[in-house]
Amino acid sequence: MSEKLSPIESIKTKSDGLRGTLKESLNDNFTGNVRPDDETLVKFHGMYVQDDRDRRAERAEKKLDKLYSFMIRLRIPGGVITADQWLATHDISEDYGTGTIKITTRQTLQLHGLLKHQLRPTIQAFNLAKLDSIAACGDVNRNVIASSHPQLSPLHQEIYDYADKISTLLLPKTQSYYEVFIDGEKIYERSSEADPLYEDRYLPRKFKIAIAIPPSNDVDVYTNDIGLIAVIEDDKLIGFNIAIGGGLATTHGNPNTYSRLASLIGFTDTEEKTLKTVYEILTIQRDFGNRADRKLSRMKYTVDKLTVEGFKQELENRTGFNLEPVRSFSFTERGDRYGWEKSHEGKWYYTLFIEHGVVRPEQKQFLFELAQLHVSNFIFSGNQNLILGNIAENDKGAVAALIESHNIDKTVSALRRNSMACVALPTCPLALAEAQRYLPELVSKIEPLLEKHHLQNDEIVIRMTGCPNGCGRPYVAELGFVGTGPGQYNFMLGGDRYGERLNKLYKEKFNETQILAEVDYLLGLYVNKKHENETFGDFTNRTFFS
Amino acid sequence: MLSDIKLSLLQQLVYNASNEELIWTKGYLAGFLDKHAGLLPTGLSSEVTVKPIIIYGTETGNSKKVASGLLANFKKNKIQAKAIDVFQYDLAKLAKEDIVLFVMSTQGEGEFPQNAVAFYDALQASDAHFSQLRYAVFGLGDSSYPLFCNAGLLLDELLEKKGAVRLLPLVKSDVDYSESVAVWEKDLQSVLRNQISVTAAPTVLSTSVQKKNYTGIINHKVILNDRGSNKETFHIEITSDDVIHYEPGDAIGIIPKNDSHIIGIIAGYFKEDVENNVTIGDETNTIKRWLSRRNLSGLSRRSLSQMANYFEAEITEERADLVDILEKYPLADKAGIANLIALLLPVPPRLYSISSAFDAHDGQVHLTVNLHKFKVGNQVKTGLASQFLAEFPLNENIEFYIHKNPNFRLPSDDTDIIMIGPGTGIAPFRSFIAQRDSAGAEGKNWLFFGEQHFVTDFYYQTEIQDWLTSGVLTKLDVAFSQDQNEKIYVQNRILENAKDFNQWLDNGASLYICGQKAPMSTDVENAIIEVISLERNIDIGEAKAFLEKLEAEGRYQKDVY
Repeated sequence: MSEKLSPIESIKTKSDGLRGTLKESLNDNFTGNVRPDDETLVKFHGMYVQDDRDRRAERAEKKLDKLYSFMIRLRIPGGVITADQWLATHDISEDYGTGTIKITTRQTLQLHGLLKHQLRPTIQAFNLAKLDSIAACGDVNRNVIASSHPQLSPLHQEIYDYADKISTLLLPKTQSYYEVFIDGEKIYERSSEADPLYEDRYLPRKFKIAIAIPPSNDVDVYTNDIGLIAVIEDDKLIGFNIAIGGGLATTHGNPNTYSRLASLIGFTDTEEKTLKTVYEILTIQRDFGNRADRKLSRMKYTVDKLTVEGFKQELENRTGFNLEPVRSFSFTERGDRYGWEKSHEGKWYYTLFIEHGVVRPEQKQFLFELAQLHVSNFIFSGNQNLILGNIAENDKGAVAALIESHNIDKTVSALRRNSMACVALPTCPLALAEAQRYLPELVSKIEPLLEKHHLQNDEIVIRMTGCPNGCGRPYVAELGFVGTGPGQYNFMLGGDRYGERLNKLYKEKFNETQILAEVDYLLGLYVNKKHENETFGDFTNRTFFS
Repeated sequence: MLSDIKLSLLQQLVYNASNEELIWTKGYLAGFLDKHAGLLPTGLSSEVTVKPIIIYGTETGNSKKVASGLLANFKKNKIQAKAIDVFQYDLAKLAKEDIVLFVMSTQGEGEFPQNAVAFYDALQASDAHFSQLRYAVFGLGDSSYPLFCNAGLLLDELLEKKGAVRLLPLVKSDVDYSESVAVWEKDLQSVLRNQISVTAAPTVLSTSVQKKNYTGIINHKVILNDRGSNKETFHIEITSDDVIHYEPGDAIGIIPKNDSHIIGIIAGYFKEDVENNVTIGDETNTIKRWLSRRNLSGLSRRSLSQMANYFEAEITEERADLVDILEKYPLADKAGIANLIALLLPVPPRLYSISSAFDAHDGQVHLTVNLHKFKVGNQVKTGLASQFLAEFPLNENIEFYIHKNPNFRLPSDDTDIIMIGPGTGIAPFRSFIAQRDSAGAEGKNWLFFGEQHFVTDFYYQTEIQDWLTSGVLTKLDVAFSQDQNEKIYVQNRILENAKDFNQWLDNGASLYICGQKAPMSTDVENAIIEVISLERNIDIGEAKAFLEKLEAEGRYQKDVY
């Protein structure tokens, strides 16, 4: 390790268990921001500081500091909360922040626009509802996600429980979250905080784990550092295929960065072995990951540095057992199943389309009233939609009536259902272009083209991000748009429908007019030249990249 | 023998008098000397045997300050005197007093301070004989306002009417009154020493230094509040080709003009065009010009009653805008617009604390002006002057003058200061800190600021951050009242910081308050008294006395409005 460590590394090691000067920062009365080092540390507690970039110039003129606010992201392994927890979240969002609840691509919830002085009351209120934001961001294992449609498999609950087990296993041991944001006093002994997994360095970079339950790949399992694919035989869970080294983020103009899908390395059959394997994959990344250049520090680069085989050997050395060969499985869907479905246990599930996860005011009101009925839980899908789940036969009528009276069940085009966008402008500090605010508009302009080519029912996956970091997973879309500058996007093509093949750069820095003209041309080409049952992604891949 | 002033007064009288008047005066003086023979000096003794009472009527504390200063100097010169607030003075005693010195300030449109109104009314109604009483009146006022020192004048005239003997002519002192006080004191001492009363006509003794008018332009204007605020506070930058001499603590005076819309409406009630000429006295102007500089809003009871003849019905309002009166009451047939214009007072100037420092801001004058909005019934109205400034176009000439504020000044460079300036009260403190920054003053600086919301109302936030970084601002405490369930104000922050606050005072810090008089300055003052009492382990009365001592020493200064 001759390379100089990234400055973030020393912030972590000197942070006294992620405490830093957070308490002082919260008390600084002259700014809405926290101190520079604390900006890094606050992420480990589930928050990002952001500033409204649309307002910078005007506020500077008014001699006002940037409009700093915080995004808080909850830790909800597997993405399931109770009706009471939804009610609590609803109330908190009314009291603090912008009032908007956002469902993320990692099955959790975010609130935006919280002011610094509102952080403690917000976290305290979540705490009362048994919700926390520990390790929701930062160089640690993030929210563990799992296929979200219980009605698809009788083993769903058993597999879903792994999300919580893994999340708990990989939590940092420091109690600073409670000390800084809840108690205000240091009541925990440092000795009880010894952390054999993260030590005082944590991971080199963020870490993502997903659990997929075939046939659905709604979690985009290959885009994670660790992907667990449930293997089910004769209606029994017999274990997990293990995939490592997925990750999408790239950096414009940095050829050393690349998107990578996770590589399958083997199979584990018991809970003990699965958890042990997951744990030691983290320790390898902890010990071998690049801590000098944060652009090259995700585990995908570690896997390629050690080679997949080399990584596997190191892993088997650390776990003390060999992985079994990968078992067969197949994915045949990735999107959500909208509307009513019934599970094997006879419970009802209703999936509601939430465009880009932004819960609109009328939807929020509906969900508020629904939660008050206490007849369902709330499940967030990896596609940023909401499933009202576990509804008894007797209660279905009441839910249906509420859906009816709020006129919630609106049909949208297949393209819109399969669209995804990250937050981007104005709050994301990384954004180069619009995404969440703009994609709905772009979809509206593409919809007439789909009708023109009679493709309005085609489930083409379209995704957009404001920068190349890939939060909206644009590299596994059939139509991918990656922001390069205001109004400009790299046009990505050739990804498959189920998230098993990365797309490729098709056109660089396209504006809207160019995008629409090109989409029109591509759709026409697809209709005329496609093979039978060939998806748009497969067609464009065959036509342009093979 | 006579002081310059008295001599010049006498000369004025004599030179302008007719033969008959001179003869009468000669007789008067002879008669006076006979009547007051007992008062004539017994030789050239410098002993003062009379015990004057100083009665002051104060609104902002200036009269009290003059009275206290006078009392202190009297004591030094072995003159036994007493000072008392007119509010606490028993009128029944007045006829029996020997010598009474009044220090009386004037408020608004020539009115008495609130505390003095009852005394004046009772004196007017009194049928006691005051021939034994000798008196002098020192009036305080602001020559920028109409009816300058009117309260002092009314009191002076009434006492004479009641038969009391005037020892010295009425003094009308302007805002910078210290010089007038010195002269008055000197005259008083000689008068008291010789026990001679001079019954001259109440001639104006003007010590007002001619205010210099400047012309400049507003070259930059921005609302400091962010979107979503309940407030509209303007930061205004004025530049001028003239060199504008001012010091931190000074204010500028601006005489706003009424907007043409309202003038049009008023002219309409008289079926006049705003361009029509109207002659009043020997001055002819268009209606537009007449009305643009006459006060049309918040007319007092007195102004309204003067207009009674021109309306069909009796006006019952205590205070009202002219346009509302015209809307509510039908005009009498004989009412012409000239009648009304003649009764309207000129628009009074409005003072705004300067928020820049000459050295730090390239000689510019910066203002921090809250667009004053208030509700009358269901109508939301805006203050004339703040509206005038808020709407004043960029790069057009604006006239103003510098209003000196000698009682709101930075101490020596090495003295610490505590500044409490919520809302636009921050204005002079931006000047103070900028001045200390550019001068490299060593004294520590502690600022208390408050408003409604942190995000939208943190005036000069980025400058304050820079001052904290550079260290010129030692300590900052802010209170944003509406950012949490319970209201938090600057006085809460003062109490939270009781120990430090007292420590700073112990170290000799000077204390400043600027902003709303009520309730802010009272609440803040009570908090300070509480802190002093708590930290020094003394009772509230002693704490008050301590603060009063600081005030007398000039270590506690207020600029409240």
